[in-house]
Amino acid sequence: MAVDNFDKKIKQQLEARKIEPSARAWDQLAAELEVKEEKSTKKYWWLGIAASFLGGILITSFFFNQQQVEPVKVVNQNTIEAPKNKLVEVEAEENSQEINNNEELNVVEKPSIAETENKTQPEIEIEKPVLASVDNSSVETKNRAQSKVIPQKKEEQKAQEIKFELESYSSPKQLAQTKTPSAEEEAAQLLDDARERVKIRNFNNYYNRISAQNLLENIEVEDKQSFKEKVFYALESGFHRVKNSVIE
Amino acid sequence: MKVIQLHQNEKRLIKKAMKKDRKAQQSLYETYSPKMLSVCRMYVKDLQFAEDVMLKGFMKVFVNLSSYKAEGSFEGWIRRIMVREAIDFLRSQKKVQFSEELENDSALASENSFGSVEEVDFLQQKIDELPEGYKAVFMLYAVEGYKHQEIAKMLNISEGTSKSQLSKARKLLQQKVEPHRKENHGGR
Repeated sequence: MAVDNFDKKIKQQLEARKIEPSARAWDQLAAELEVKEEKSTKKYWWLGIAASFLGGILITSFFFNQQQVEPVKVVNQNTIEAPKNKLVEVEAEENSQEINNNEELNVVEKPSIAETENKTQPEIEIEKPVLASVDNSSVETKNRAQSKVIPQKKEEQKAQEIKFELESYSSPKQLAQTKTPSAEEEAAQLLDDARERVKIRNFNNYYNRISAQNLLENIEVEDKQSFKEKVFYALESGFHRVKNSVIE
Repeated sequence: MKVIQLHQNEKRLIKKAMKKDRKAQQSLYETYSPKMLSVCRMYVKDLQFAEDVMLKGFMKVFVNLSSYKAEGSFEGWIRRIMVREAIDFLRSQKKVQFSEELENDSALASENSFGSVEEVDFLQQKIDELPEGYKAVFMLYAVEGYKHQEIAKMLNISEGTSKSQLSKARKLLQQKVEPHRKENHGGR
């Protein structure tokens, strides 16, 4: 008991004691804490750099892997979009040739609209330009006369080339790769319509550029020329026979 | 009510100090530094060295504040850190020696133990006169409340040595302090 009391007394006296530290003690501790925190933040900073570097490598490798797969999709898009571009090119070429077939061009520009409209509407639109084109061409042909025969052949060649291109692009095999069966039928119908329109347009162009009156005039000219030539040749041959007989 | 408010304030300060809030750290330091310097002074004779030990201890407190679990008192947690830091200091100074011969030397020292003005200062003076081995075991057992097993682990000695050092330290200290106390009480 005496021992315990002695220990307790000493404990009480020492625990009750307080010693104030010097004034500079806190400043010293704060400075040491700042140094310690800076070191720890530097460690985390380096860890952050290393983590971001690894992350960058992973992201780049992921993108490269994606790019290797993507080209297949791009090829399909090109095959589908190509016919549209060709149609636009055809239109541009025809505009440059100064042919007054605005109504016919409208027919070509409308394939996208024709998807929703009835099939009878485009036929009516096509028939109108034929009559109008004949009237327009009758005025033009008087001025141009015979000089149009050679350009007409070039235009025919171009029309045939375009026709082949359109037929090649509108092959059902290409569309079958990308579209569903229901869409294939619609696409086939639209392509058939487009082909018919192109054929009619080419046919109209051919006859629009030539025209009935133009042909008749040409024929008359040719007939006249041939008659004169026949007379000329007859006279010439008669003259040679007379000449030969006189010599003989 | 006041005790609860103080406890809540202490919790807030600890949370802020965990987030490296310098003001919170300073307020915790200002609250506990006088007591902790007293603890360090029990083990370390020189006040300047004791203050250095205390600052090292507070450094460990703020760095390892996240490891503090609010199961025991915050003061007790800091105190344990300070005691360990003081013992590490004594070890680094190679002052912790456990020998039987020192008993006679300290007994001689106790002859000149009277004449101090303040009782606590006198007590501290007499504790400082104890050999380091005696002093460490006595303070850890009598003041800090550690068991002999824990003291043996802390000081890397056997439990038997811890017990014998304690009994000798107690005897020596009683010899030094009791006559002075009897004089003071008799005077009153």
